[in-house]
Amino acid sequence: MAWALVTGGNVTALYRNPKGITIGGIQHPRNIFTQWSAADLKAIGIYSHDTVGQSPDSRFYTVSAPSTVVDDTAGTVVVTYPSVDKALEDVTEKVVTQEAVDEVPAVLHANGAVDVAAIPAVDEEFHLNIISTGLKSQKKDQVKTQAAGALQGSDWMVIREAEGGTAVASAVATYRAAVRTKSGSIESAIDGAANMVAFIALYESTGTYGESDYVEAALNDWPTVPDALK
Amino acid sequence: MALTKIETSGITDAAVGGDQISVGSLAGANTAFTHRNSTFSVAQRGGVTDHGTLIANTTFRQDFSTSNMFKMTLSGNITINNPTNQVAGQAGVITITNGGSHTVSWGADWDFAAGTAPVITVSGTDVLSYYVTSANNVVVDALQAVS
Repeated sequence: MAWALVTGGNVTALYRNPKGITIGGIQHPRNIFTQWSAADLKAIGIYSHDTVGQSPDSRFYTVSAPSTVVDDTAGTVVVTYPSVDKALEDVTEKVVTQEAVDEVPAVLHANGAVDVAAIPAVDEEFHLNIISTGLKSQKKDQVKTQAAGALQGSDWMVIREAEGGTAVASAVATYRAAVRTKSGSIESAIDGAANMVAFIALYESTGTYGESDYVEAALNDWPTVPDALK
Repeated sequence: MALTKIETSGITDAAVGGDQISVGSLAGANTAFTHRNSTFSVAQRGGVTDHGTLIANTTFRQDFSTSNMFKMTLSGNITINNPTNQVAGQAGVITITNGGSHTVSWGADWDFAAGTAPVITVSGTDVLSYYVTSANNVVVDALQAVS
């Protein structure tokens, strides 16, 4: 619970915890915040203050500038932080080189703006593709890194066998195959996420941890490391 | 008996007249003067101004010329505005009995520790001592939850 001091329709102070305050030359003790009615607080300019969407999961969303709504009738202040989905897919942006502008003047408008539509007509050497990786690519890279890390500890066993040494223990071989399979299935699941909701679902486990109904999140459901590698 | 002047600008023969009073009875040990140090051999008691039970949203101010001691009971949230007739040097106490969890707000002249008005004890009695340091400045200290 927080409170805002509203003066002339604008928020002039924010109180996240009760504190002694002076308003209009009158000193009020801190317990007015808890003992006074909303109407009494509103009478001296103190409104309830709420925020909406202030802390979205930064893995999936970006937050844009907040908007503040002061309701003088209700005695409330609501600050809303709009959240925007981060891009799931890669975004490719074409950037025209100076060489293209020099050779194909139509690419550059008189006002200095670049005519993107004209870019395909330009030889490929005259533009650069700038790729902004989406969440799917970023996560798949992480999955690959995780898989590589899981395999790394037994790579020497594979090399030893390949060079005519002791064969890889079956439990280890099974584990390594399972890691590769799981890595592939997780990446497929990531690619298959049709929207942000489906993508977020990959991060979420269900049931109660330690109980029979517990289901690990798809992104964390890696094979169990065999004793031979512990 | 003829009288002599007992204090500069004080009582004179003419003011007293006749033999109604003796020099010894005024200047003796049992007489208190406002401009002299005095030792009292019996208790001195100040009157207590009782503001009674104050209901919600009561706003009032005390007249410091009436007494040094004040008391009140809360049955709602009140505001004690700046007292009138503040004169540096006056001191006294304000006893506040809270009938519930009511609040007391104060005028700007009241000065508190750390500049924060005290939270009056819920369903209890607080004794607030005050001292007027100068006009518009009344320093207050609270002895809380007195029982």
